[in-house]
Amino acid sequence: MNVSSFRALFSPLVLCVWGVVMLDIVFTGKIRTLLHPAFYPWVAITGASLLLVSIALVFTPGALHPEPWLTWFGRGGLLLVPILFALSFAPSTYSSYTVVNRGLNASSYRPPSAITAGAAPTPDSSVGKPLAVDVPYILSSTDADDNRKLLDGKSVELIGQLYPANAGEFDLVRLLIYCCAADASPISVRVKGDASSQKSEDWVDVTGVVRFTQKDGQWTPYLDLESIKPTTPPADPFIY
Amino acid sequence: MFSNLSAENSLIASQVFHDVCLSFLSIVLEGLPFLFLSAVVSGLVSAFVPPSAWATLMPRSKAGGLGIGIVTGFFMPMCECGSVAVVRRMLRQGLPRTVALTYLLASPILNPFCVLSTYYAFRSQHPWSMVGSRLTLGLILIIYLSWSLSRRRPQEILQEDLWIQDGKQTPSLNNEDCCGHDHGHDHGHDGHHDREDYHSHHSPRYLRFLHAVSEDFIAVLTFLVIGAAFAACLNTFLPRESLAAWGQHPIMGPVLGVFLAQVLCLCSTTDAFVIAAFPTFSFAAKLAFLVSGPLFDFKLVWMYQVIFRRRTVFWLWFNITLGTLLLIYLWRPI
Repeated sequence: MNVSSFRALFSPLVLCVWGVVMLDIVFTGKIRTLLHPAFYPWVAITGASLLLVSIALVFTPGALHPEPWLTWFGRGGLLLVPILFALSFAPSTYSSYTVVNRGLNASSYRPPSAITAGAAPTPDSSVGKPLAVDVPYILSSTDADDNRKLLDGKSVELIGQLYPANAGEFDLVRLLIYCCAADASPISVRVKGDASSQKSEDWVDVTGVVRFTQKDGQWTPYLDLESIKPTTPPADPFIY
Repeated sequence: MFSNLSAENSLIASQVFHDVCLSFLSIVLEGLPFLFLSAVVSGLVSAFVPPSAWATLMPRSKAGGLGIGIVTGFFMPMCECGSVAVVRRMLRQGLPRTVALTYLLASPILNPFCVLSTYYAFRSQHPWSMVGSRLTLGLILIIYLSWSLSRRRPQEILQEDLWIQDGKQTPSLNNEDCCGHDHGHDHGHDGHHDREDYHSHHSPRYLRFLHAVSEDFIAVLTFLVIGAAFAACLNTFLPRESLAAWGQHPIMGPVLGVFLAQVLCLCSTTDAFVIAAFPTFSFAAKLAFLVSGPLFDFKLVWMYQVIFRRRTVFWLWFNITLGTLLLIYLWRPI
């Protein structure tokens, strides 16, 4: 292969790298930390299509034209270096710096999935066991008096990420996304109790008694901690 | 003590860098399917629609062009990442400027998905008032912007390779006229026109399709990467919680709404859910966010440069910002 025909590989190379990156993100499961599930098939289709276009460009006579080295190192660097960097360094969740910057919503809030479902899920009410709930369920219970009274004083068990708050308190956080991780909004329940044995941002399984406080007509829930233990992250780290 | 402080700062810096990577990757990945879809549409246009078709199909008057652009935006909705590539290709194919630019501005905001998401996001906060206000103010702003842009000469506002008089092709793209005369004109800026000539109507359709898909995808992707990098940084560093304190102020609230929309760079079908959850923002501040966001943000600063000259992008920013604020202050729906 001479230099001129190598220089002609710019477009197929760029398309190939982006196609491989997209398929890698889908098949390694990293996409769960980045996008709403509605996007998964479209990302896979786009990645595969980019690979196909790249192959078609290489094998179609007359489709390729040499690009100057300036394009290779300028535009090529811009197109390839940031995405490969981001792919290597992107974590599975945001640090407490970003979560705090975005502001925690710890009062009434209902995610879009609760709208389409029509009502909040019914918790497991087996006698003697804590109710198995989640952060959105507790927050949405503040919308209706009946739901709030059902939970008030009950022992519940739920998971979330631990973010430190005031002394002797922490926030149990879930990230709610509508589209992609960039629009993630933290929703949380404040937990009163000692969690010094756990690290910030770790996934924890918390059992506690639900209480509500009212300020300016707005109900805000919190938990009195009974027990806390580390747990594995759920398959879907976000709430949709 | 200082060594502890330094270690703590470097830990925060490293965490923040990782957070920026996460935001960047998600913004780019979210936009790619739309960008690829629009590149495929571009390829189909390039392969199957002769440039002369636009001249016969599209209205010549500016008012007609505005109407067609708005109606097409409603029935063929596309987010900002997608519409840029299609509009660029169609401008190069000779689609009248008024239609193309109106579609570019209208398709992200005046569409059924935007209406539905706004309604659901504001289901407990005067949903119809918000939907109606968003569409009305967006429409007024788009008509003003498109009308103003269509009155200016293309050389003043468009990138060099899109200098096309309405309905007429540039020499390098004029497939109808290029046969039988000198093919050597206008070649040599950066090789771009040479490639265009090579893939003129002399080429088979599949070659024109492949070329348009790859070229348009890569051209817009470059600006998407730059825009997403800026958006990811702003998205990470901006302390939304402390800014929210100004959200109820009658003057500063809408200013903050516009600022947040431009900095957060959210997709127009999801932005309503994010701003609806800002409890300290007034209705006017949220409306300002929803009207200005789809029309301009810091990601679009870069993506618009695929089509517009830099000073036109600045003009768009100035007029969208000022126009939104004036309309909001005059509108006062609630």
